[in-house]
Amino acid sequence: MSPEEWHLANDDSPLDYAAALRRTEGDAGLLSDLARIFLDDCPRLIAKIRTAVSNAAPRQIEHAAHELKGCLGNFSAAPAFEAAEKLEMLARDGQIADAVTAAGQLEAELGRLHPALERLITRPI
Amino acid sequence: MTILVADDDKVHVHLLTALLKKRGFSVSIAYDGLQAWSTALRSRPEAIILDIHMPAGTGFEVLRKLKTSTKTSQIPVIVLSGSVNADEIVTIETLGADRFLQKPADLEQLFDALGGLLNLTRGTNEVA
Repeated sequence: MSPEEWHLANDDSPLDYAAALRRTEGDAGLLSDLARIFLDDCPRLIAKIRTAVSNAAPRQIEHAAHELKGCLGNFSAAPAFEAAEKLEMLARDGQIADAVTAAGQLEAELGRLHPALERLITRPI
Repeated sequence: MTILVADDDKVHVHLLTALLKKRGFSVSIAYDGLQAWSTALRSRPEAIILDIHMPAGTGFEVLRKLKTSTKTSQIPVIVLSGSVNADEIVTIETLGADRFLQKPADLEQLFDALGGLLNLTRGTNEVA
């Protein structure tokens, strides 16, 4: 199943393939490259968030979530983007307890996004 | 024509680089504020696309230096920011940004802005 077919078969897709492809002006190879770069960098970004959350450091959490949100914005990955944005806002407001929960939700969304991005690499549209 | 893309988001840098090259531009890259400032001085790009949140010297500091140095003040700067903070937007305007766009940037809008600042033909935004 191609990524596009998979997306159409999954209403709750973590990634809007059509929108992501529009951002690369229809260049599936470029979109695949972007997915590879993101997946290479993702563990570092997640580690930054985990460290910041374990330090209960709002400013660090805010920065780390902001950085991850920026990367996610390139993929039209609305659920993970919104989860990162929520974490960023909670940290900005100093709501650490809620930020811990939001960080967990963000990791869950990233877990859903990961295979969708891998599909872009292994089976470009 | 060379465009300096200054952003610590490697995905965004790769995307912009590919699309700018497709339009005939050369691209210089900086991943932090220090690199952005030194590359701007060294390569004197025709325009700069500057992310405001970068390590090692924020985009604010880079923008202030760019717009106060006689060597770089004439270079058009398009500032990108994922922040919705109104104070930041005012600061960006006060420091002299030529355009401000929210991230994730609408790329059509970004290239239109770039074309306008460089006086390129609207619609194609391609280097002659």
